[in-house]
Amino acid sequence: MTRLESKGQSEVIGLMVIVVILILMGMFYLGFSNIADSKSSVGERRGLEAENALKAVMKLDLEDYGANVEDLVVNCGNGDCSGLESALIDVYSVVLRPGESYKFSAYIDGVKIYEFGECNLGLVSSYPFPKNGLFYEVKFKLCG
Amino acid sequence: MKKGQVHVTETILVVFIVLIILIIGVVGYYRFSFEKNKSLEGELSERAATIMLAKAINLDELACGDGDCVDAGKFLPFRRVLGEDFGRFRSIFGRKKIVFRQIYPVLDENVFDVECDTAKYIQIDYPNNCGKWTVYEFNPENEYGSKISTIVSLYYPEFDKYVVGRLEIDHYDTIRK
Repeated sequence: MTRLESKGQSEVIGLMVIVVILILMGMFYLGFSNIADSKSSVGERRGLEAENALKAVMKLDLEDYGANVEDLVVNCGNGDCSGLESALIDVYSVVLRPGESYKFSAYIDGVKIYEFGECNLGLVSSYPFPKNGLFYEVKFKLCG
Repeated sequence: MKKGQVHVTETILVVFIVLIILIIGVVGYYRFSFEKNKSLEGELSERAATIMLAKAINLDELACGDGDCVDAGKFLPFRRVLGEDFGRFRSIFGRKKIVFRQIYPVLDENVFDVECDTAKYIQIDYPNNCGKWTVYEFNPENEYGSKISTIVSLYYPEFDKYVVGRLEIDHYDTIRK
């Protein structure tokens, strides 16, 4: 065999080694690429939590206040928001997880009549209800 | 002749080294791939449980008529139906544990982990005498699970009363049914 032919064989084998290494690297990359992202499940649960945290509380029968939260919002629309505020503090301090904050706002026909809580970036849910010929809406923002 | 032998030996050595690299690469890939699949199974199980959170609240067998709450009066009948047709519910829920708890008004801490059943239900201080309803449980291999939960509105038709509850789902990493 001439020197040129043996050099050619070495080059082919070297090229083969590089191709094999590249294929292996490609397989490792595919193996490590993320298919299911668990963060999307957390996001979905947070959305569900925000919606249910409002719905469940709006239906809640408050024996200590002799009314439910809907009635307290209507009272607030008539000028007395103290009952609503203490009810919100009582209930959400138990219902929400430690570290979670919220903002509760009430509207009559689109005009804001009440706001309570500190929360800037979060998931918002809404609960509209008609009462006494007026359109009430409550918005709840869940942060943390 | 000797030069030829040297060339052949070199070639064999190179091929042998390439084979070793290949074998190490394949073994390493399958080892990491196996670990990745295990964590993927856990993620998928969590995703399925998240979907189950929304599904369980809206099941006809458990939901209130208007669909905006869970009817606690249906828990006992549901357990009875579950006992009679477990296979059907196992195909819906899979390997999970589904528990409803009342969180507001706050119950006495002594009853927080007390399971509600027929005996507790017929007592005069129900629902303040028990803290949780386990409506479904299937974990034949006693695996450790992860818990997810969400807030629900619980309705007691016996007292025409709404309370705030929590739906907890323990899901087990294996997504086999």
